[in-house]
Amino acid sequence: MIIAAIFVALLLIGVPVAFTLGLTALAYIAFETPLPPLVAFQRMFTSVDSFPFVAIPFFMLAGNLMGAGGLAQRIINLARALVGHLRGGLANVTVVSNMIMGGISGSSVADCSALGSILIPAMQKQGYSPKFAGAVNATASTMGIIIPPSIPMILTGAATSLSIRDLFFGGLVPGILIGLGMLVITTRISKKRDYPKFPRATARELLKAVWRGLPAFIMVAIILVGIMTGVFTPTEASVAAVLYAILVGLIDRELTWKGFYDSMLNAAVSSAVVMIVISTAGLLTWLLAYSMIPQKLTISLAGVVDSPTTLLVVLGVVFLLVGCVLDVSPAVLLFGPVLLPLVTTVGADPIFFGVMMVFALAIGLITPPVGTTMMLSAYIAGVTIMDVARESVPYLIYMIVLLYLLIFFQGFVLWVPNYLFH
Amino acid sequence: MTRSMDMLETAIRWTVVLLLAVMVAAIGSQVFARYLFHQSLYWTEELGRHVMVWMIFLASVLCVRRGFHLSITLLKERLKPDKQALMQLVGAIVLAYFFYMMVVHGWTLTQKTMVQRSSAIHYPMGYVYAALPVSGLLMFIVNLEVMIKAGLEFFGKRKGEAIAQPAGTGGESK
Repeated sequence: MIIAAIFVALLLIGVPVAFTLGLTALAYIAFETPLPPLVAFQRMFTSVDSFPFVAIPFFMLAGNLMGAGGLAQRIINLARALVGHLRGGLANVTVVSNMIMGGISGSSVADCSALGSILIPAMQKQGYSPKFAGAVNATASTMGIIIPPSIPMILTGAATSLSIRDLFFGGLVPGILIGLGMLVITTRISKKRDYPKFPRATARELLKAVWRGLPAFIMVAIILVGIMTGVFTPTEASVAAVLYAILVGLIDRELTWKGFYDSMLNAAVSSAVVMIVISTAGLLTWLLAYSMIPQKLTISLAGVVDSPTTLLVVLGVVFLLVGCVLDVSPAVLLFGPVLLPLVTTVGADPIFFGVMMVFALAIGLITPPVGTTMMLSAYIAGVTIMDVARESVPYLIYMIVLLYLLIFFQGFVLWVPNYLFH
Repeated sequence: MTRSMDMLETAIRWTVVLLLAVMVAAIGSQVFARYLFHQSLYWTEELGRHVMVWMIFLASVLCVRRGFHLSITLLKERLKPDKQALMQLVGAIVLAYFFYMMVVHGWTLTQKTMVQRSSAIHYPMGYVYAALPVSGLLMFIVNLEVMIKAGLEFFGKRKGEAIAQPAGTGGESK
């Protein structure tokens, strides 16, 4: 109890989540175990000393380099040629750009800032309400971690020894469904509010946009096809994406030394933000395992919950609530290993469990009080978090409904990895 | 004080950029070696992993100074500036304890692992574990600056000034 109180108190006074987890673990070690505190720091070290995690800074870097090398703008132009003629053209462009970016970067926050910093001001200029502009970008960027590649799925795979490749491709259908649903909702809202649209692109303009957007598609192909065919491991795919982004930036002569340095620094800092949380969350997960919490949980709940669907329905609610207060990375690290034994004992599909966990927690990116893409979009749009949250409600409802539809029809998620790899 | 801290920060920035470049070079050469020359290099994975450990712990120092680490700000935002400064102060004191522990225990770990060799390249693992005490110490120092600024603001000695935000520090991707 004391330990839970310490955890909540530290979070509330604004101590960073990473160090709150670390301090909670230190308190747990001191009060509940005979272990020396030295173990805590050793575990912090070993939690991040893992090869699959090398992909995290690389995927961040690839995304940043794409922004600096002008690829993000090309993706936006392509999206405009594709869906700009729908009512609420630019809002729909935001959705499609985020879908394409989702196939390149593995981080919603990276997509949110790379695209949002261009698209949110552009939408405002065209007369969209800043609240709506923020909400569309915040929601669309959740696809970043659902459409492969995905940093949270790398974390899930590394923490539970599920196949990262299977998890990646399990996210493909849910991610695309989010995007398509968002297009429908956005167009409806835009019709009601009479937001502007672009003239339909001619075949020539479309071809030109596709041609100019080709480097982005090649990037998606390198990553997805590379991993799909087993040519690349996820980590190798991430470094290939970095090298390719540098190459395109150099050929286009858009990538300057300053842009390169800023991209590197930005990637280092953003991955440190994620990885320090990984380091202390990994420590806490290890402590839970040391105290046999996963086994105890499995024994006490496996008898009560007997059907896989019931379990997943309940876990969906749990993840949605957890997602309100915890960011995706620490949440998957804490809950993945703790819940997986229960999931397999009850007989649910572990890959589906991993995908739905990331999906449900991704919804948490747009729910207050802690929703990282919501906060970031609100900041870019110059409105409050609650403004964005209120405008996101239709999307939020859609995503929750979709989550539960997928729980009842798991085949939609699982056929892709099963077809490709089994 | 702010100026020497700025210099420290610049040095750390260049270091993390350099470390990330080493990671790209190491894993990049692994990919090239495997697919172009059909050879696997024995040292790349280990080097990339260990350089990453150093990179993230050092970059974390920047995040502590700039307040980039993920935290829950909802309660804080609703408070008056002086209460905010008080919370910042309390938070910084708690953090100082954590960083102190990190230095002490990190140092012990470093000494202990000096005899242990890395599996591929055979350098002492202590070189890698040293990331803990070194970054712990640096975080302790920059946290001291945060603490002093919050303290000054709370006790009203002068208006606390936020640490200036130069371009391209990664703040936009917080």
